[in-house]
Amino acid sequence: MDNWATPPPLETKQNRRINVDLFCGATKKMTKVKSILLRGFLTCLCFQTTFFAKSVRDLETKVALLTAVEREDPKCFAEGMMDLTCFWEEDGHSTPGQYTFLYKYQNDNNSACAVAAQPAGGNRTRYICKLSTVKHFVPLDLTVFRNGALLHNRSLSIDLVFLLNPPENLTVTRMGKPGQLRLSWLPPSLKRMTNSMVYEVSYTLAGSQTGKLAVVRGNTESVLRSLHTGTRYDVQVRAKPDGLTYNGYWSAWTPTVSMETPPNDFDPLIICLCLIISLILTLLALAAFLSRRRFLLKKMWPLIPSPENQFPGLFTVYEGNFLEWLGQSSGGLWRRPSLFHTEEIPTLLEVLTEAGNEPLALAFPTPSRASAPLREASEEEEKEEEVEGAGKALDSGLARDRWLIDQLRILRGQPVPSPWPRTSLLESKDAYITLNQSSQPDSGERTPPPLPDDISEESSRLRSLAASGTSANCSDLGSLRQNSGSDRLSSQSSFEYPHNSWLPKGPGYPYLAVADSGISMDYSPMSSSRSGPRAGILYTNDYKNDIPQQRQRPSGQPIPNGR
Amino acid sequence: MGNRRTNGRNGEDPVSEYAGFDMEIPRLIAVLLMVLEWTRPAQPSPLRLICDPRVLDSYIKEARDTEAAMRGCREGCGLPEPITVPLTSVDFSVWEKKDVQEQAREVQAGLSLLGRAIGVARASVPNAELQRLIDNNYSNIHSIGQVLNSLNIQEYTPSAGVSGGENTWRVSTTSELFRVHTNFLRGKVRLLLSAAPACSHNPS
Repeated sequence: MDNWATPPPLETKQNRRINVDLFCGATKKMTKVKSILLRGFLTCLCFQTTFFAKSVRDLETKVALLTAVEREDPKCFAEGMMDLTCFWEEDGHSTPGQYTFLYKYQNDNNSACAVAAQPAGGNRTRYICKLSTVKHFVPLDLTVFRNGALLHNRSLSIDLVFLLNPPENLTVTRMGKPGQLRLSWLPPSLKRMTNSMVYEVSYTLAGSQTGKLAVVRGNTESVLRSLHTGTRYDVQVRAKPDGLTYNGYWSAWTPTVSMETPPNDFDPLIICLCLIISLILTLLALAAFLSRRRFLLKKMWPLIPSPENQFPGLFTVYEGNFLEWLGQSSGGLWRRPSLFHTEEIPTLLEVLTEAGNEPLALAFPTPSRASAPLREASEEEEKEEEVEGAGKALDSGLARDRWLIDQLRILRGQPVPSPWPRTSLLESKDAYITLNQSSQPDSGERTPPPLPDDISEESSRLRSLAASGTSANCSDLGSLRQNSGSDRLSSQSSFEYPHNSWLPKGPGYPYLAVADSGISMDYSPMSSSRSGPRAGILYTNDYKNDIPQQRQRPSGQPIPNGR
Repeated sequence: MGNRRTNGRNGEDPVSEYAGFDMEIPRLIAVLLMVLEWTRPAQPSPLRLICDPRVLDSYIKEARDTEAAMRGCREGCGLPEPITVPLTSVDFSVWEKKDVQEQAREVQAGLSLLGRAIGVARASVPNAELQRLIDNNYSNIHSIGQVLNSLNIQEYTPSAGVSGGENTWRVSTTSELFRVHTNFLRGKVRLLLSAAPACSHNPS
């Protein structure tokens, strides 16, 4: 019994162990299957819950969007081609059974739609109806009754109330250029409407509230330009039908995508190249300027011809005062007459005059041009003889000088008639004044006439000349009458014409004065002197304007007097 | 002579062959270009313009403008008698089940009815400006018919006559007529053209 009884307990224990093991194994297997099923069920439930939550969230979003833009009840929107959702909200919590929702397409019968209620926040209730039959491109009449009373009535077309899902997969990428971002997205998954869509892109600075909008038509990518470099932007996109065939409301915005624009970095190589090129250009410009400096200066500041070389000291010493310069630096002008007198041949001038009853012959220098008829060789010979005679007459005494001066005073004291009768008188008489420049080559003076030495010299010379004449009764001439207001009896001043104040200097000017005064022109040529009786001895004057000699000497140097 | 020629050929053959081969390549390229150029018109380039949705969009805009103008017309815009017009409603669940021929027949019949109705409306509208708009829409309907013909969609004239069939109804005002016209172009005509087999390579 014990043995029988003993083994069974052993077997029982073993069997128990085996049974327990078997039971445990079966239980484990069963537990695994259940757990797998349970996991699958939970996963499905979670998925459904998630999907439902997402659809609820989408519905809430669209309801909010539509409530913001649509004032008319019931508000309806289509998410696709085969659906239409209508809703309205009311205060309180009424049961949906109190409401009747009827819809009617044109040329169709009325249809009823089951109304559902859901809380809308606060004390409000939202009533929703989804139409079972959807027809596009035809007017739809909606009518809502509450307890048999008309609550809402509206007419619409479903193809004009689309409220789409936002675009998907918005991608923002950097462009190679600074300040640009490239956007791309997928259109709302809606058949036949892909190409008739319009998008709105919003891009704002990160953290900023105000942004900019860009509209993109019929394209699912865009490039944002003129952005700040190195700045983070928040980008969103929303969609809507373009309004031609289908129309609707703006969808919700896509989730925000942030991207930083590429920084505006400068390539150091480009900077170095720019610097080097600019340096080379600068050096080239500098070299060109230096090489062409004279030319450029001449072009920019052309040389103004200065009279400084022709008038030494006029601007530096006398500050442009020409009269003063003339008075002080006449020596510099001794060279000037040579510029005007190319013909340096000394000639004789015979001036016929008859001053009163006692004509006086005086010798004056004159250039050859005024006395062209005097160039005859025979006359010159005569004049040379006369000059020789005059040279001898220079040795006469002072008594004749006094007499000559007395005669001049007498002449001056007489009333002077007008010049023209005087000229005619001069022409009628055979009174001669012979000027010979070449007879006294060394007697030229370079000092200006106003010098008192010249005056005395000339006066003495005149006196000597006058005294040398045997029959010289009276001094000439126009000079006497023209110089009636002046006591000077210089040869130069004697040729001064009243209106020729510009002829104070220079040996050539006296000649011009003679020509201008009409004396040399009106005077008959030597033929008349030859034909007519010689009224007196012709005196020669060793006048100072010996041009060739003056020209040979440098200006401004004191000329040694020959005597 | 023969030897010399043979030798000459032997000496010149590589060069001549090389030159001949060099000349063959441009000829081959020219022939290829000609073939490509010749085969390129085989593509349905004339149909591209027809498949362009912008053509129909312009017609739709004109129809919409006419509809707006007719909506503002109060006097003299009534039709002498109700005119049969096609139904414009499109239930996509039903429309997509129809084949292209049936869709084309429906569209052709609708265009025929609309053309006839617009002709009647033009005679009843006294306003010259409205008449001009109506004329444009009338010509547009004929243009759409030609487009459909070029897309190998056979012309179909409803034999039921003015009384209309199952897809017709009657309107009594020009405003209603042109609303039907606009909706018909936006709906059935556009759906048919965008789904035409000739334009299938260019989804629009």
